[in-house]
Amino acid sequence: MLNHKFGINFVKYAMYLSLILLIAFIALIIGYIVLEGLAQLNLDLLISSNPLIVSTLMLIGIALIVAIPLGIFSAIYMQMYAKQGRIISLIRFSIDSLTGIPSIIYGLFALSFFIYYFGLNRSIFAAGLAMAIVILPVLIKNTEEAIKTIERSQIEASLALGATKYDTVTKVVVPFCLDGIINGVILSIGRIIGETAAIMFVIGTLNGFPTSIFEPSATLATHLYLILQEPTYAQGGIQEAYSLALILLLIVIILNVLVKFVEKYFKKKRGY
Amino acid sequence: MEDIFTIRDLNLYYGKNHALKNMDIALKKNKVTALIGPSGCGKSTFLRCLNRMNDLIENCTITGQIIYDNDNINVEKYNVIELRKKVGMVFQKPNPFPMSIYENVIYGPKCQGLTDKAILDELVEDSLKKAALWDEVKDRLNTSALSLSGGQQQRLCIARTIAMDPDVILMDEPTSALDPISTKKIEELMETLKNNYTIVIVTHSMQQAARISDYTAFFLMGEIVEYDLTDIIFSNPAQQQTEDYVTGRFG
Ligand SMILES: Nc1ncnc2c1ncn2[C@@H]1O[C@H](COP(=O)(O)OP(=O)(O)OP(=O)(O)O)[C@@H](O)[C@H]1O
Ligand SMILES: [Mg+2]
Repeated sequence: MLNHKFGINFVKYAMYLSLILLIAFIALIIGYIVLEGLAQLNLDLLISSNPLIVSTLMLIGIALIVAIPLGIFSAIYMQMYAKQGRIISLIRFSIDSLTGIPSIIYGLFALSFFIYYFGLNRSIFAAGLAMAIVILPVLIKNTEEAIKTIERSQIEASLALGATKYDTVTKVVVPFCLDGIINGVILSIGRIIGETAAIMFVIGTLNGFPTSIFEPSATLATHLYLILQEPTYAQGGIQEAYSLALILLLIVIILNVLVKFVEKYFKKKRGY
Repeated sequence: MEDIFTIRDLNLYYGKNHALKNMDIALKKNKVTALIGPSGCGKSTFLRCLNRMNDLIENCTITGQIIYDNDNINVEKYNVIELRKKVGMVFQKPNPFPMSIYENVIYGPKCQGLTDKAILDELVEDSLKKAALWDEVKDRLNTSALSLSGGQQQRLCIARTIAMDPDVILMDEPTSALDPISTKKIEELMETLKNNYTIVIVTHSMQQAARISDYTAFFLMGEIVEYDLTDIIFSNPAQQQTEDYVTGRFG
């Protein structure tokens, strides 16, 4: 009895402890970045990192515009239309495997395929395509999982009312998996913002404010990577890095909040 | 009396499982037909043949004729959309869409391209009235259908089906997930609905079958053992198996 009680208490305290540690870690990381970043942040730096912010946003935009429709359509096709069999299983397995591949492999592929084979210029556009490939499996996976949670009787109800399969997909299935799709988008944004290896070799080098997506540029993350690599920057570089990290953090938060608002808007419109 | 469905030599296989065997039955127009029988005997499967819902199931083979309105619907080229507009279905578990009450009712008509707000408004009121739900929800048509009680949700599902102006309403154990009071309401509703629609209902409740139906078919292991006027099935059935089942001496 005593032992049992001790066991329960032990688990309870272990859980509290891990929770506290987790919160402490998060607070430490965010606090450190914010403090160090704020200390260095000044108008000059903010202005000089403008091109990085803009090209990061452009990169996110391109990757999402390419990958979201592809991802959603593939997921819907695989769940709702395709005959479930060997081929679909194989495709699913490949998609799962793709999510686990180190991003430098994607970088290698993007470089040889887009730049060497197709002769694209090193640019935000080429990097955007590379990132679209990286996030595609994430989007497909999340959408598929969401579709799977839809009750079969909902789909049957729609069809029994004389709705076509197309109507059923657009009016019942897609609105239902909005959560999953949004979730995939949030994960994808995080992935794009933080990615270096997959785009380093196809985005080119920063030279001023990007005026088009077909220019070479750099993102916050790839620039951060370069700064930290550069021996001559060793002194001041680390401080600049912190302010870039702070900006990165802010962008992630703002974009996530924005995505949540979009989700709310759609749900409200449908009268959930 | 006119038959609305005439089924001839119907056989259905789920893969190798022979679920419906040599069925011949004619369902009467504007009557309530109850399908009874022990679990797994093929009642739902049969019901789902009537609006071709089994199309969704892979590996399901159906042979024989299902004549509806002088046409065999059991052929590939028959337009299932048209069929389902005329043959609606209410499911065992209430399954309203997670939309507003209003949107639920107009879902079907909207899919057919009906957009006129005035017509839709009228349709919503009319359908909800026919489903005996109007008074309870008329002040909150734009709230989520999921906020309704189970019994109200089921009547909403009936309203949603009625909004398509069907000839036939198929019901698969529509009250089995409901409390006695909601069940009573739905039974009363069926009483009024049968003037305008043909109803085919699967039920596990002998009392329900006896109360609401005009005809009853007794299913057993994929076969129709007996089909007759409900009064006869319950008072003087021809088959011993039927008598055993309706008197509760079965199994
Ligand atoms: N989707 C399916 N795939 C394969 N077999 C099925 C499927 N649906 C039903 N069956 C089989 O067909 C037979 C008849 O099932 P059905 O659901 O029609 O019975 P039921 O009379 O409606 O039973 P219950 O009263 O429990 O609802 C059963 O043997 C069942 O296992
Ligand atoms: Mg059943």
